[in-house]
Amino acid sequence: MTYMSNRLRRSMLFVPGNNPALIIDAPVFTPDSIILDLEDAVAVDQKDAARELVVSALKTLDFGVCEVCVRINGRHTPFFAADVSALVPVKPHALRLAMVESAEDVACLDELLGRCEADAGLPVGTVKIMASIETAKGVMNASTIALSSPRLVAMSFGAEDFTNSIQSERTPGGHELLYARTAVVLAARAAGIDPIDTVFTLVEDDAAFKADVRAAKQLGFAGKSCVHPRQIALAHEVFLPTPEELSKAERVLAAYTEALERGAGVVAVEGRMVDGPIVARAQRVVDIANASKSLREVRAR
Amino acid sequence: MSTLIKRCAQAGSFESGDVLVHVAPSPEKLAIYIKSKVGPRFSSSMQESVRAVAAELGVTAASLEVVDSGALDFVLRARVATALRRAIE
Repeated sequence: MTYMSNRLRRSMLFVPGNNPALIIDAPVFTPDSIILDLEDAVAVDQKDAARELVVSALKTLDFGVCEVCVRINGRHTPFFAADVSALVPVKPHALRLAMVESAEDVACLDELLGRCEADAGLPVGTVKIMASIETAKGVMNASTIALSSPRLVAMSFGAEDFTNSIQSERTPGGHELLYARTAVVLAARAAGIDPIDTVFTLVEDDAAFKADVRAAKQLGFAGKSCVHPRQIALAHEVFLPTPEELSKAERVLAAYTEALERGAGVVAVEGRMVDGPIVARAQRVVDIANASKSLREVRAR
Repeated sequence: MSTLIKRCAQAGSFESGDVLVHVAPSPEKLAIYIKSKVGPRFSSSMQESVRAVAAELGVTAASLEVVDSGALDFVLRARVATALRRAIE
């Protein structure tokens, strides 16, 4: 599988790694990323079966334009090394490491990936890493974790384990998560990787899910972990710029380009001064819209 | 050298899209029993897949019972491999 830099990760769909029917169906729903899960979704006595099934699926199935990741078991579990060594030869785009609490956790995975890639005759760096921050310790170390490996492409936040670790519980308002979500966003953005928000488990409440995704987008997250296919289109809808946002961004960029050509340092659009950060934001809106459009075109083929 | 089947083991399930594979020691050769709604049409290719996985693992003598619930080939191969590994270890 070829790795695409700057890909969209608006939706990352979790798929239980020991369920053949759900694995086969996953690409039909066209999430930006599929996460084949060997961790929480798999019973301890079925870890070997799920690993074998996921490896066989990665060898065989065409996942289309979806990014394909595998959530492996944590570094301190007896399944970690076996997960990595079995998966590397079949080249998933990335491994998502659960329960990351320190830069050392990622460095350990990085080193093991390097050895497995060499054994498989693959270039070092073929398989990327996503770090999952799910504990108080992980949140406190988020900034060093985000810089711990050049393989890191995303850092996700897991609220269920996190609330356990702070001896709290999740509430509809999510105030107990605000600091942690923000810390993950800042650490990931500062390192130039994608922050991915936690799952939303009330799968039949679309309005509440969209509100949660809007809050995540506002905090700076690039995408949302999803536990049900119905959440994918909703997440895409929230992360996609509205026609008004896109039109405004295009006007800002056009005015800025024209100002540069005239040699003017400053320009105003609709009564508002346009400077560097506003141009950068407008460019980001256009980039996301273009990426969404090209993805739709690829999928329509 | 042939890999020895030490015990009975199984992998998979009766869920739609899956297959249940049961392995037991057998003294002489590979004996494969397939129960599938698509058996009349696909039994020989399923047999071939089971034999291929057994060969990869060096297993030449075992009894394998396969109860198919509409599994694709990659699922069958994975479940056979898991069941055999469990029976070998």
